[in-house]
Amino acid sequence: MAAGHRAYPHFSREPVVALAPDVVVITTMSRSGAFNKAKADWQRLTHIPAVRHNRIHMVDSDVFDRPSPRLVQALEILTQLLHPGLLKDGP
Amino acid sequence: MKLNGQQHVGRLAGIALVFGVILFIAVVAGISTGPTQSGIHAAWAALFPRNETDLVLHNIIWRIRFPRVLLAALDGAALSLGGLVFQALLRNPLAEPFILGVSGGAAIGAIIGILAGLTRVPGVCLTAFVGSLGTLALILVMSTGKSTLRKDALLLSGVMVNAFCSAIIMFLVSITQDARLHNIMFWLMGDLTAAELPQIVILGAALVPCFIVVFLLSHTMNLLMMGQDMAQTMGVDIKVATFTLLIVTSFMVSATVSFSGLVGFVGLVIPHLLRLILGPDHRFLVPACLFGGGAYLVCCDILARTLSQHGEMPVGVITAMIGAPLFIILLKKSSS
Repeated sequence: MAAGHRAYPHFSREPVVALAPDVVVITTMSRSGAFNKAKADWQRLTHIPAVRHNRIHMVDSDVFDRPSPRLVQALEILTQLLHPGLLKDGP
Repeated sequence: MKLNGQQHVGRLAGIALVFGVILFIAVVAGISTGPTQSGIHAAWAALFPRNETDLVLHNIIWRIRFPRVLLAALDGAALSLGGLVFQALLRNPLAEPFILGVSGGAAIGAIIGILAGLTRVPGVCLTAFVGSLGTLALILVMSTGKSTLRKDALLLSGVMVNAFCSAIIMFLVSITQDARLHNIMFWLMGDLTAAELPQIVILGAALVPCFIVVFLLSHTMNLLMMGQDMAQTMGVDIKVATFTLLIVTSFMVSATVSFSGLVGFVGLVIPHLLRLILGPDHRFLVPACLFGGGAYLVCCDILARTLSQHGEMPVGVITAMIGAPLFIILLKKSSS
């Protein structure tokens, strides 16, 4: 999780690359191959653990970005992505 | 000041050298500055990475900062030249692609292109070009009548064209749910983050011939500034020269807009500043605008990246904060 000194930090791309995340979760890119392009962009940054361990994931923006009861489902998906195996049944 | 051929070439070379060095310094500063690690030494070390830390910075510099700085330099050069050409052709010191609404027209075209699912090169660039030509035609129709030759009338029509363009853009954004437009607000204020190096190389390849054409026509612009009758007696084919300059300028502006959105006032600040330093001769102003405009936008982008502690801001915020007050001062000066 992108943690910082303040809640909900804003990141531009450069600090993200510098922080070398373990997992990258991308939303709102499901249409017209945008995710594949974004993923290909990330994969060129070989020093990032998320790239080395193939942990770049796309999630459904409708589930994640809308304030609705489905956020619980989003939380389950996120748990599965960040800590695979923690939830025995899966999302 | 009358210069003979040798002095002319000497002065031209001197100006190109000085502004080229300024651009180079700006580019080096742009590459070495960022929210993570700054300094020329760090950037130099990252060119030849020896360990993991260097590799991180190597990736940041070559994959994030360098394309961005290059895009800023190209955009700045194109927009400054755009302003210079419009000021000469319309004989109005306040003319500028953004103020006239040409950038707005290009933005409408670009958004239609994005919504139609076209690729940025050449699809979105071409739709942006058509959009900019549309608004340009509108401005020319409005400014050909005798009553609208006055400065304020042209500016007012530009304001209206801009308002109309903003309305159309907001309309298009409102009627679509397309995720491709979710960054539109950022883009509308000028966004230099989107492009990648291969695309920027294509942009450069498209813009450099335009720069050359404008440079070749710089003496013609001098003659046009003296009035159409005067230019005609000096052997200028006014229609061909004006048409060529307008088309080339619209192309430069629309290519810039389709890559980085609406960056305003660059074409106002740089030509005015350089005219104060170098005088009104376009043969010197064109190369100076080319390098000086590039350096200016690179510096504005450095500010946009580093001023805020929490992420970054669109570069158009900085250019407008500098340009808009200058515009008001110039307007006040020209009306008094």
